Amino acid sequence: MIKFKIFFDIEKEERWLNEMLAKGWICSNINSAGIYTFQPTEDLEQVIRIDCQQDLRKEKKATYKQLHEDFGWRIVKEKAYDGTYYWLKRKDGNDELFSDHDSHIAKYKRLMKQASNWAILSFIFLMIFYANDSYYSLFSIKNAYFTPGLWEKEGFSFLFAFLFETPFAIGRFIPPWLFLVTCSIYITLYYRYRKSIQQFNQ
Amino acid sequence: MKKHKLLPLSETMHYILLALREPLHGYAMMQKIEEMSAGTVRIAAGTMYGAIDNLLKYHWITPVETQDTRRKVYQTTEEGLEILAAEQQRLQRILSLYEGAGEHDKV
Repeated sequence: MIKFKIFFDIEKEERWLNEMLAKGWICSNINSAGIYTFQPTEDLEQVIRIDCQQDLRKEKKATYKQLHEDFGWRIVKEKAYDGTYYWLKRKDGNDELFSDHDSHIAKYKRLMKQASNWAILSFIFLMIFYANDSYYSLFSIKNAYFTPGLWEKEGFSFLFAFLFETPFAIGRFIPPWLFLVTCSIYITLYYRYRKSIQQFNQ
Repeated sequence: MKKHKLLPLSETMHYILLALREPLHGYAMMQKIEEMSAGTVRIAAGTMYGAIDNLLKYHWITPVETQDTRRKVYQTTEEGLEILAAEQQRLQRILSLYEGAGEHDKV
């Protein structure tokens, strides 16, 4: 079974993957476009945990993986570009990746760093999109139409020119908004993780 | 003096430094710590990895050469042992307060 889903928050993603496991679907692959491949499984007593380790260089990565495998975790997927690791294990009462306060907080700090990196990156992309343009056009869909004299045309010739260009205009209009939305989602996420740390410290 | 980031030692760090007075790899460490703590402390994989990484950074433990090329083995350094000695003193002070209430100027 194949499902398409986009997650920004790895805790929600983890919850969803475990719900799928409980229904007898084990995730076998995840690609960066958000396509999750599932296989049916009889074994409902399994658990998936997601870790974020963006700063692992080659040698450290081997140590990190070997250690987790020794503890009984099997890697489902490693997203090298942002350091997300999906670990699977049979439930045996020790089903968490972290067992103390400090390491939970360290995880949230890594997640905060990741969220802020993505927020900055999407902001930079937004800037690049609008480097030669005015920010006014972010709000004006009319400016996304390039046909000269389009808005002076009338009747059928207007309709034809308008409909013809609409797909292109949408293509011009939407991307900056996508980056803006992505940027704000990551900023929200950053503060959510920060709140999780504060709750831990109480 | 500025307080060290890892002091006072957390329970996890305490057990790791104590267990590593003999060379061990991560999983063996977890098993030994479970035994040392009479089953009360079971360190999870991610916590173990993070703790090792942290202790290596401050040179309180060091990798030890072994035949096993895949699993890394570690041991507490001289510096790590000094930290343990200082922590022992601090804890002894607290213990003496538990034991002899009122005699706190003795130790």
